[in-house]
Amino acid sequence: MSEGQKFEIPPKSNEPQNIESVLENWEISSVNKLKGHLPISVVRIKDDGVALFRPEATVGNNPYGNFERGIHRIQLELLAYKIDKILGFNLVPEVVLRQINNQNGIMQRFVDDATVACDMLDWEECVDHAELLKAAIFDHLINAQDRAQRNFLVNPGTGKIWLVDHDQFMMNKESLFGSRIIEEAKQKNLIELSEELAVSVGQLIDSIETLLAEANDNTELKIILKKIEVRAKALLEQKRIV
Amino acid sequence: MMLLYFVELFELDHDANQKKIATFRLTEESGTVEIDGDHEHSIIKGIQWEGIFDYKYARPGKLHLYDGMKFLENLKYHFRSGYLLATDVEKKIVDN
Repeated sequence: MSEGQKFEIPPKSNEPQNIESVLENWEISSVNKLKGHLPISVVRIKDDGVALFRPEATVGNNPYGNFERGIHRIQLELLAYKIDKILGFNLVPEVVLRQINNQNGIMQRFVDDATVACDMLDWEECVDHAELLKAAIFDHLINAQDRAQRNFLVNPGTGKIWLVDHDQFMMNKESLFGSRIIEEAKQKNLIELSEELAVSVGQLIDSIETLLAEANDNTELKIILKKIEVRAKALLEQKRIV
Repeated sequence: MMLLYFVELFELDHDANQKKIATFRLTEESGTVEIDGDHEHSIIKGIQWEGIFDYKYARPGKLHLYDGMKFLENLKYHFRSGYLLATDVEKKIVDN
């Protein structure tokens, strides 16, 4: 393994592994709760890899009141990852369900090779244009309402984008603050849907029924999915972000 | 003796170690939030220049340091990803 490379398949394993299975199954060497108002922990996986763990909200510890409304942050983070995976954009770090210290929650791969955009002076200059267009399409589809510069990371060397923080504010508001990513894409005139990107959006539309089935009885999650489907169909028709 | 309200802001470095980058402080007397920390840090500069959104009441416009407690209590909604994470508003009694 090259130095600094994370989540590589361990040499002792004969089974095919991917990052998701490492996050789901690998032995954990430490769990450190972060200082702050949310119960997020840094989880170090034995031999390799770091993740952020967010426990499932329970009544009384959810600062945004979404538990009572029937939708949990972990469901939204998982949904964002599933959508990204279906699109094949590779913008949302891997997310899996896992139990840690008797708490159910999600583990998301920690991005160690990029910087939060608000901590960069020139993210607009170093961002890769293909990445920016994909991220703008993703934000358009989920109707991202809080994609400020603190909710995405950019690798200053490669221009790679990582989108984080898919919670109630981001994915379940009709009119909040919008997406800085879409703003920048429009400014750079990166709004056209290529054939390849149209295929990705088509794949998402084809997968909506499956995602709806996975939402079980969660009406609010289903409403979000239906809205995403409407936006995806409109995007395919218009062939550009409007 | 007076009451000091404060919020701490933390960031994760590339090794996922958390470090404090600022403490936002508000006294009963001043009405304006003051920042203890590196004022040249791009995140601190951004907050000072651009302000933050009002998540708590979803009001249009932005909140700035001079908005005092309204600014302070919105920091935790503003910074919630883990990469950047703010504390709740805490308080302590300090000497004048």
